[in-house]
Order: sequence, then structure tokens, then C-alpha cells
Amino acid sequence: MRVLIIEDDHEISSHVAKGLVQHGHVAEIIDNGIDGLSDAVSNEYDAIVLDRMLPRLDGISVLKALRSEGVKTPVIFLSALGELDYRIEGLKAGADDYLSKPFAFSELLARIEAVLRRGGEGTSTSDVMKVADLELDIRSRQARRGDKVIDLKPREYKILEYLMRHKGRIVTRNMLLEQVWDYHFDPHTNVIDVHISRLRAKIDHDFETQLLQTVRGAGYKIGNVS
Amino acid sequence: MNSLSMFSKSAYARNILTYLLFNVVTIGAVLGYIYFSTVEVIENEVAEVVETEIRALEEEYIANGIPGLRAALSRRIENADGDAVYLLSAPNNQPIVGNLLQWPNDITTDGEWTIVTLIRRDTSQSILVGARAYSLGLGAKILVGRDMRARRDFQNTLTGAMIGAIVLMIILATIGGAVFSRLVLRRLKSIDNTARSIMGGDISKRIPVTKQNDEFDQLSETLNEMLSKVDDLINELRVATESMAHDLRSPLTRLRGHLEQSYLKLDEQSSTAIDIEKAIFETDRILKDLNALLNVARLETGIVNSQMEDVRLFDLLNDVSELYIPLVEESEMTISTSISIDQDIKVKMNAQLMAQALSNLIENAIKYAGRGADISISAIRNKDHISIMIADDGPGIPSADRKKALQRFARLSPERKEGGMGLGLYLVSVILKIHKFELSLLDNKPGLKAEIIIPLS
Repeated sequence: MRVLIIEDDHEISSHVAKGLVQHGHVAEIIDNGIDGLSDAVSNEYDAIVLDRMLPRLDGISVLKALRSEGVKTPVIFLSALGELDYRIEGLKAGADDYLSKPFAFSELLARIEAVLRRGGEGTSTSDVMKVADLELDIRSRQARRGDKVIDLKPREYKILEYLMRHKGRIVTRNMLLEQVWDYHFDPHTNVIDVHISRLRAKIDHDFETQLLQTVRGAGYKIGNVS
Repeated sequence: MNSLSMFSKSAYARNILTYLLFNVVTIGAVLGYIYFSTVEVIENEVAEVVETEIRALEEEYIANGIPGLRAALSRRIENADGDAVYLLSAPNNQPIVGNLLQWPNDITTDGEWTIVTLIRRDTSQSILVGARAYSLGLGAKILVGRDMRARRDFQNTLTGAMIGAIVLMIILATIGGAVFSRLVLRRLKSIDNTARSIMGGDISKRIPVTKQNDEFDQLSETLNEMLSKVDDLINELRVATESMAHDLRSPLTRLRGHLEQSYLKLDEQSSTAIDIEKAIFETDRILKDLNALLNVARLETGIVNSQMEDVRLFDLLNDVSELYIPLVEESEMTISTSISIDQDIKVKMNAQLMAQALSNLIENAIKYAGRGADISISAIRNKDHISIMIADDGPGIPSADRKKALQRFARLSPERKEGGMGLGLYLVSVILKIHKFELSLLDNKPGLKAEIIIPLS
């Protein structure tokens, strides 16, 4: 995929670009708002990583201009200001996700991939999501693996649903905390890991193929081991 | 009762007493002077008059002998006002002429001014007389005096007036002292109030300065200037800490990036990968602390007020508890929740921040209570407030340290030194302060109980 990085901190932009290239993507870097906006309007990108504080034109204005031009490319908003107010401001202006600096590259990558999925997934009309022999019926909120019905608590259901919507992709702990609990702060404990291990015990315990995997240094992923 | 009201009580009484004492001594001295000089002067004048009269009678005696003296005395007795007393007596004390019944025993004839009690012949009344007596030739004696009752009356009136004056003065001085004391103490009280607000955390408070520009105002201005200096220093320190935290984040992010890149190139199981993973973990922890520090700084500048909304407290508490239930159980602890408040109660708050505060308190309990501990989360509704309690039965915090635990960069006993910059509870207290909720750390006997009081308006 092609990602446009609009960021004036060269260290960060080159670090992000390098990581993207390493993962087989194409990255373009622009270091100011005006040029970033015209580049984003005139070229096709799969995703845009946009900094909030930019020379010449700030991130919010770039984003608003982009959306009013009809550009629907998913945008991940970056900011050194992790405050909630700014996150909401960014999302209101049309951002698809928000990440505050400092961030781990794996976190950004997972989020870029997640917003891409969001764009494509909308067309799926099926009520049942499937990963290998694991099925999740989003209408009856019931999970089964093979012929075994899995009894899930409401929160476990939400975690599983989110993971399955992003099957094959990495989902970070912070993404789970934000999407499943709607919490936008960093707990200082491994609180998410424990929820995952409980869910894993339910869906993987008696089966040979382990579907819920831990991706070291990044997060979790559901899917067949490739 | 705080120390100032105790101090003020004693100082108040002391001020009044001092004022009173000073007034009593001053006015007492003035009145005493008036009393003695008045009474003395009147008496001296009477003595003078008597002396002059005796001189005149003596001259009469020298010129015309006893008969002349008798005639003169009779004339004087006839013409005299009621006050004057005369007595001419023979050497055997037999009265010859005069308006007294008999010659007094206790008077000398050397002309000395003496106060004696005599009986008037006309009224047979015993009266107090100031008199002088002289021996004439041939053993006859003459006594001239003045009835001193008028003087005594005047003395009594004067004494009465003075007692009245002293009583009035004591009353006025007490009132004056009280008013004066109150004025002084009121100024002191306003200084004390300001100092207390500042100790309570409101560093922006200043002592009110009146337009009188008196010594108190000058003192207040000096203290205010000093407070501004202290405030500036604190701000400088804060800005320095925050910009340091801010500046450290970029290099740390880059460091983390480099570590991450290296990690991704390695075999997950290799020992280098495990070392790098640990390094990433440590870097993350430092970054989390720096973020917490900056978050606190942002919260303290008060830019989050726009995010207040009506939140169902019941749901918020249940959601946060539920997030931690598995972690608590995995940590070999137990958790019990009893949220006995109406499900529909809504409280104006920033849900994210309150969730974070509750989460910090629960994590704190997990971190310090230790294995086998029981953590309890409860909420009850009282008359005018809701009380949320997060308690554990671990080692707790000694009461002397509890206040310190809520401060920035709190460093407590060695048992609680694990990780972090000591911002956890401080962040909680800042969040609650924004909401005007109260936080107190209590003894759970054993363990620590954090209580949040949400006032219901």
C-alpha cells in the first residue's frame, strides 16, 4: 500500500517510512501542511499519517480541507498532545484514528492496517464471521468452534468480535482498550493480556490449532498460523 | 479547633486586659491627682481663713483685752454663717463665750490645724470641725474653726463621681480593647486564612490589602511579594520539569524505534531478542511516566473542562471493576464489588478521566496489597453525597505518609518503592480536584482505603 506521511519531525517521518518499507509498503514524506494537502489531493494514497502541528498549515486544517475536497483516504492523526480534547477534535475533523506521540511503530502499523480494513469491510453483509473453524454470529452474539458452543461473557464477545473483524491483522493492546472498553488511557498493568488469555482458554484450549496468537512486541492476531 | 482560633482567643483576652490595665493606671493616676489636689486645696483655704480670723481676734485682744475679744466674738457669732465655730474659754476650760458646748480635750493651743469633733451649743449637734486654738495671756484660750461637713459632703460627692468615672472607664476600656483587638486580629486572621489556602494548594491566593496603607497593609504587601516570588520559583521548576519530560520523549521514541527495528530483524527466541524486548519494556515504562507527568501538567492548567458530561456512575464503576477482575484473580487476589447506588444516577464528569482515576486506584491496590489480598470496590449513596471506596487489606500506608502519598513525585516507605515516578495517586488527586470531588486515604484496618466523595448538588 501507499502511505503519505505529513510530518515535520524528520526523525519520526523517516522512522515511520523505514518501517513501512520494511513491511513491504510504499511511503512518501512531506514536511509541511500546504504541500501535504496538495499532494494528498492530487495523488492516490491508501492511508495518510498526519501530524497535528505542522508548519504553514496545521493538521486540523489540512484534514478539514481534505474532507471538504471529497478525499476519503483514511487518515491517522498524530499528535504530541495526548490530551483527550485533541483526540476528539481530530476525530471530529474527520480523522479515522488518533495516535499520540510517542508511539511504537507497531502500534501505528496496526492502526494503519485497521483503518484500511474498515474501508473495505463495510460491504460484508454476512452475519457470521469465520476464522478457520471458529464462527461468530453477530446477530445472536454466539460463538462456536467446530460443534462446540463457546460461552462468552459480553466483554469477551466484544474482544473476539473486534479481533475477528481484523482477522489476520495485528491488534494492539491499546486498540483493544480503546475499541472494546472505550478507554483512552494507558494502564500500567498487563490488564488486557489477562482478558486475552481468558478468551484464549475458551476458544483455543481444547483444540489443536491455536487461532489467537500473541505477536511479540506488538499485540494480538486471530487467524490461521501461516 | 485550629491553632489560630486558639491563639486569637488568648491574644484577644490579653489585648483587652493590657488595654484595660493601661487605662486603669493612667486614669487612676489622673483622678487621684485631681482628688487629692482638690480636697487639699479646699482644706488649706479653710485653714488660711481660720488663721486670718484668729490673727484679727488676737489683734482685738491685744488692743482691747478680754472684754474687747468677747464683744468681737459675740458679734462674729451673731453674724457668722452656720459654718463658723468660736470658743473663748477660761484657763479651767470653762467656756466664756462661743457657740460650742465645751473646750475639746484633744486640741493643742499652738495654732496647729486640727480636725476635731465638737458639740455645737445651739443645736447640741456633734460636728466635725477643722480648727486652730491659741493660748492668750492669763491662761485664757481661743478656738476658731469651720464646720467641715460641707467639705466632707464635697469629698463624698467627688469620691462618688470618681468611682462612677472608674466604672465607666472600665466598661469603655473593655469595649475599646475588644474593638481594637478585633480590628487587629481580623487583619491577622485574613493573613492566616490566606496562608492556610496556600498550604491547601491554592498557591495563587494573596493577602487582601486595604486602602488604609497602614502597617498591616505594608506587611501584607511584603508577604504578597514574597508569595509571588515563591510562586514564580515553583512555576519555573514546573516548567523546567515539564520541558525536560517533553524533550526527553523524542529521543526516547527514537531509541524505542531503533530497538523495535532491531527486534523485528531477530529471531524471537534468541537471547538478544529477549534482551531487546526488555529494553523496549523499560523504555515504554519511562515513556509512560513522562506521559503521565505531562498529562498531569495539562490537567493542572485546566483545559479539560469542556469534556464534562452526564455519566451513569453505576456503569462507570462496573466497567472499570470488570476490566480488572481477571487481573486481580490472576494475581492471586480476590475482588469484591458492591455498587449499591441507583443505576440511573448521573454525575457530571469527564468519563475518561474518572475511569483513569479509578483504574489508577485499583492498580495501586493490586500493586501494593500483595498476594492473597482482598480488594473491594464499593459505592454507597448518602444523604448529600455518593461515596466510592476502593480498599485493600494489604500493608496500607502509615497515617503519617498518607498526605505525602497524594503529592507529586511522592516517595514513600521502601515497601512502596516499586517503579514509577510516584505520580499515580497524584494524578488521581488532580483528576478529582478538577471535578471538585474529594479524595481521602484512610486506614482500612488493615490496608488502605481510598474514598472518593462526590457531592450531590
